[in-house]
Amino acid sequence: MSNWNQHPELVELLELLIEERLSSAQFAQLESLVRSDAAARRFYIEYMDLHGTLHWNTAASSDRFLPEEVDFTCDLAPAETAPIGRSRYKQLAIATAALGLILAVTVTVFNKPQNQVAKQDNNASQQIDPAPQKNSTTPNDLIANSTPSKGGMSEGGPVELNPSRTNHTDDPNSTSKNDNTAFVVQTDNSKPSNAATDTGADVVAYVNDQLRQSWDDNEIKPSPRAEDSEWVRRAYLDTVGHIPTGEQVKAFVADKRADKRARLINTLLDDEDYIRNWTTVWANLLIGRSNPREVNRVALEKFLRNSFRQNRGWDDVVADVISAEGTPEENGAASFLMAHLNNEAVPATAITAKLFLCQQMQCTQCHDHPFNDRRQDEFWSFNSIFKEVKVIDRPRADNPKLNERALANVRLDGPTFYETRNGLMKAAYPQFEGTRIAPEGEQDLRGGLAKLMSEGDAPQMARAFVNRMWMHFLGAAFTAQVDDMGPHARISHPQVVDRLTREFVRSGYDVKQLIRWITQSEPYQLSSRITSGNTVDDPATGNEALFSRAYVKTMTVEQVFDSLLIATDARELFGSTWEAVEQKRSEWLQQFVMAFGTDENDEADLFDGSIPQALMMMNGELVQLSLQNKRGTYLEKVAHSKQSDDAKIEAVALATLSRKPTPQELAAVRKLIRDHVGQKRGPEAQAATTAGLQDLFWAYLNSNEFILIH
Amino acid sequence: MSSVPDTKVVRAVPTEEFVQLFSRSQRRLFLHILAQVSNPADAEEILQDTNVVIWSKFEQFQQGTNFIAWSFQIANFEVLKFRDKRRSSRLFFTDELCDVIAREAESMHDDLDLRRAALNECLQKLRPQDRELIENRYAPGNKGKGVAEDVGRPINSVYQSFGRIRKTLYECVSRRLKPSVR
Repeated sequence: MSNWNQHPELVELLELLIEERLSSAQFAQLESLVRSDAAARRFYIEYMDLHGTLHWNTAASSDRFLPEEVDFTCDLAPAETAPIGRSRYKQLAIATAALGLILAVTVTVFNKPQNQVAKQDNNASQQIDPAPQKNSTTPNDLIANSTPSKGGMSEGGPVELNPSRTNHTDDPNSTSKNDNTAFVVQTDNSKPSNAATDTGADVVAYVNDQLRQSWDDNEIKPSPRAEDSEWVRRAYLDTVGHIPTGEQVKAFVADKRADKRARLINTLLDDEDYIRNWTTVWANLLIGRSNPREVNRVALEKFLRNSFRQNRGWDDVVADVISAEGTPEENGAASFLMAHLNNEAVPATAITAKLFLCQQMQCTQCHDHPFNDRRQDEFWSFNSIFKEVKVIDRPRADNPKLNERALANVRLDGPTFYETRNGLMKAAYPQFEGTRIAPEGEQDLRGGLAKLMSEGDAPQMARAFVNRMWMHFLGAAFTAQVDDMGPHARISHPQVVDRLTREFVRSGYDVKQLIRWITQSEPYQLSSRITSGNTVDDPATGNEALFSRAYVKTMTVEQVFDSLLIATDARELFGSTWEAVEQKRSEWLQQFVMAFGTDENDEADLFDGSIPQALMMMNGELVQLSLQNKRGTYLEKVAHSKQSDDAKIEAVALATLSRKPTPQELAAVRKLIRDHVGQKRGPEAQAATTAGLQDLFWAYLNSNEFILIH
Repeated sequence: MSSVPDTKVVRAVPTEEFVQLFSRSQRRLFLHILAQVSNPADAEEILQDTNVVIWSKFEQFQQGTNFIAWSFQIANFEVLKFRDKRRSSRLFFTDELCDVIAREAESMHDDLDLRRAALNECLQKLRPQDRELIENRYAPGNKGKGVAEDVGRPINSVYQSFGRIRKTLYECVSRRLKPSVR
């Protein structure tokens, strides 16, 4: 006996389906549930049957659809076995039988269009769009307002959001049955393509509409808009990987232009540190921080730097990474597979699926997936694509006496084999999502995979990247785990994922454009402060993220290091050259990382607010060095400037926390400095003041507020 | 719409038994179609197409054989045709899944009939305001938005109520069926 308690998500999807509010992504979710699980299918049939019976029975009580020319008084048939109501079809059939077959056929046939028209009129206002109220709730949109100069945009946006409405107004006489639909494919429209690629105001407006709708649905109020000082710090950390300087904060706060946030993002996207930040992020994802095996991190970083510098399409970058050949020196992208081809290419298989597709395949290595319909053979047919490539030692071209390690294709003759749980050996053929891949001319298996992965207008690869980027900026993904978008994973805002994915693909996988859309969206503008109106919106407690506030993120080790350098201006203390600083940085990072020798080449990042990390921060060489009262450091500059003590305190607060000190802080620090100075006069007093500022600097750098992105 | 085209020559008139079978099968046919296309408006349209075929083929029906099975077959074919026609504008289950659902729904046929009967009793047991709300929802041509306007409540709270009432009904129906199933 099926029970809806066993299918909580299924029943919610069916409710959306019944009320014609289901998105195409949710529909896919429903389909996969119903397909994979016989109990779910049974429940679907029973629930739809209940819906249909209610529809049928109540519809029967009204005669408004019945054709006038048929006389229904002559009800000759015996009572129906079904207990409720009399349907119009039953009546129609009985009457027509009485009048003879000719009439029956003609009435049935010619009555149809009339019914259609009649229903159209009755429903005209409701049928247009499954969610027309979404537009009306947001008359003045943040972004639309901030770009008033784009004449056509503000008009193009709302209309485009509602393609079926456009059809209606254009052609009021249209009796197209398509209008009478539960599932208008929302993105399947003929919108002007230039609108999306320009500023993307319509994309942002759509995202905002959907999110506001979900806030309404969940009866929560979003947090207020973030203060400029809060926002600017977040924007810097997320985009370029470090905090802004005190001067940059002041300049941004003083800027009076309405679109200064969008402008700042554009500036940051062109910053050198944008390239550095995203190179770090993806190098860490691709090969980890611990660099255990002979992995050429420098070469991979070079490849990533070039990719982000040129803002290459993400599909191209992924294709290069998974189909790389040669040595890392020739091709930096080769570092990824060289790091993961150990253990029968199992890590390469699992990590590729996890990073680029946000799919968790590793447990299907040994058995069929317990919660979804992923099967063991899928893992191994995916895996067999990577069996084609091997790490080989070959003589160097310039000096044949020396060997070099390189990725090279080996011909696969026939299938690869794996063992099932009951000990059977099974064959696996190269496949991706059910499509067999065969080498074709120049193109090897991995090239074929890369092509398949980016096929279509919303492939999973793009979806996965959107989920990751959203997570990076908003602090939570659309799924509970960012890298698990499998069939069983619930997506909090499927329409948003869907739209962003399609637009991202349409933009040619333009990473910077995606960042613009995300950073211009309303949730990114919000404060991280929880209000009484949205206490429930807390993904940390296991609730679905609703993005009604900016979730607080912890800085990564790299962000801490780079931010310390910005705050203390102590770069020179670590070395005179860029390489020396990088070397210092990588040494410093190693303290926080521990590698595990698992199948998936896992590692842990210990920078999690734990005690060892706190001690490392408080007593570490880095902080001590940067706080020295040496020439060139920020502290030295501030301490020896001709400002009042209050101005100096403010400068320290701005440099570390990107905000002015609170009145309480100010009072406490004044007292601290007074205590330091005591009865001292002249240079002694000056030194005492500096010591006080040093304490303050130390306290700020070791505060939670410093290592959090809020 | 004004001129009725020339009528065809009639070769035979369906028997009374056929008419009875036909009229009794309508709701089952509708629900059978609905399971495959999930949208009542679509299901009604397909039902009408199916009816036309059933009437035009009544001579092929052999009395004494299973009328429901015969008409389900016709309906399944009409569902396929409809899906092909509307594929670009709707989301449908894959053909394969649709086929599985059609077969399973047919095998659950007796059970579903019992559920439909039980539903009527469960409707009577609803709180009056709930019954009124759900009847309002299913009134011909009505939808969530119309109901929300009628009762002056926010649309989302009305959707919530529909869901709650349908779940209540579903549970009630399942409870009532338990003794006869076990």
